[in-house]
Amino acid sequence: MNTMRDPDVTLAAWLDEGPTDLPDETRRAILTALPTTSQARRGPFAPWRLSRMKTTARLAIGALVAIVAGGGALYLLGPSQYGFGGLPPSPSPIVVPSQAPSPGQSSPSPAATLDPTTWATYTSTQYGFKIGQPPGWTVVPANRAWSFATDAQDWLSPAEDAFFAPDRSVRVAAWAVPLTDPQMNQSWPDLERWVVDYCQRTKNTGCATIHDRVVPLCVETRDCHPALLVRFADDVQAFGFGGVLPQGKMVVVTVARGESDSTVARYGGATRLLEAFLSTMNVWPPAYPESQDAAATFVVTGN
Amino acid sequence: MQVRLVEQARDGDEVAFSELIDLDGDRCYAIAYRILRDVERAQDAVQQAFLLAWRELPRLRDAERFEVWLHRLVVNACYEEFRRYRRWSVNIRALPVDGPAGPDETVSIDDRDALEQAFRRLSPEHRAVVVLHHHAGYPLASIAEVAGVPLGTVKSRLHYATRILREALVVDRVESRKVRPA
Repeated sequence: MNTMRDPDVTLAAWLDEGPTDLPDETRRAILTALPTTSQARRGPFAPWRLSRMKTTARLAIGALVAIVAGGGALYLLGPSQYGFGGLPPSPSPIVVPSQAPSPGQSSPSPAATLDPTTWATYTSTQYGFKIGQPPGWTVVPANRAWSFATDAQDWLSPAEDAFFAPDRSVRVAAWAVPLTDPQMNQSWPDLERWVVDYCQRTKNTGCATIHDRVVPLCVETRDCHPALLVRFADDVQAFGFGGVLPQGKMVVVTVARGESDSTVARYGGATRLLEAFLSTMNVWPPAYPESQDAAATFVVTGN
Repeated sequence: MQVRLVEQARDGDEVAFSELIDLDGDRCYAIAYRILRDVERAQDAVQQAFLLAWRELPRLRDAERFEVWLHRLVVNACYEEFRRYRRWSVNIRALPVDGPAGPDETVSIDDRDALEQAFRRLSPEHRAVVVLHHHAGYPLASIAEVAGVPLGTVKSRLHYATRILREALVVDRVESRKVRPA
């Protein structure tokens, strides 16, 4: 007869079964490889420091969700490092400028043009995220939810929150794409696979060589949810999700100009412009506790 | 002691790092095995994690947090091993391997089989939360740090995974009674 026991006790007992000692061969293999494995340099931007701040302070910072660059250097080293996508997140909420304007460029200073701290905050009624709106730019809100069926090949889709430069020469858009797998692993490699698939479905170009052009980013400074920035021939796009977005959606932000297009030269290039927008974003919906001032009500109970 | 070893290893001291392996290698391996349910894959994951730890150690500011950081590397290495393995072995089912901690007599063969099957249906992210909570004994907030996800995600993953495993046990017991009435 099968006695009914507490399932948790049975589960814990079952998990305790199996090997517990690291085999000597593995230990030796690690030690053998150490002399040929160079250590990273310790720099001023040491990326790994687990926060020990009070919950309230941590949540307050978490509410300032930002997409930040960095934390993915190892990701760029090649496929063998893919598994460690959750690694060394940068603690800095600052978007690292990608490149300065080329010498001789007769454009206004990008620093003067792109000061996101002066931007107004636009809240998307369609998708819930917040994003900065530069002075003088106009916004055309999304009038419906984005879907592959109707919007995948419409690069001026009305399902996008679109921002237009004062002279209408540049369009920056943000929207959210439904994920078929809401439980999608939150790693850069998985995200890159998703981006490749998205690239193909939206009929963009250069989908096969995305790996060579991706720049890993983080969404949210505390947990570093992986995000990616990709330069395409005719636009620059960023992809990311905060792990808590409702209904499992991927946020996409795009500057619909190629990196060296003359219309974005005054901003230091399309990537720099996109990064400025990303630095203003909060992808968490307003209803999410950590995105409100009353963040302390989101209690970290531990066990 | 561990902090001192971490600081020494951070400065390139291989002997200190080998002592860190002695201190935490078994625990890392136990976690990796239980997530992957495969001895060789667990060995690979732990090896990758320790080598990455060695390489990135100079960037770890807070030496006191070494263990959580290391376990995060182990869990991430398990994710990668899981996905690499899955690509070519979706139909291969490894037999349970018994080590120093052999079969627990409180777990029946039927329960063990039911759990094994249900656990293999879980994603590596769900597996990791279950192992870190029920085996490693981490509190949920610490699991969030190790897994690199928000606390709410940990809770939802644990809730989902535990429900699947409990249901497997219940179904197994009902089926057992049908086949082998007392």
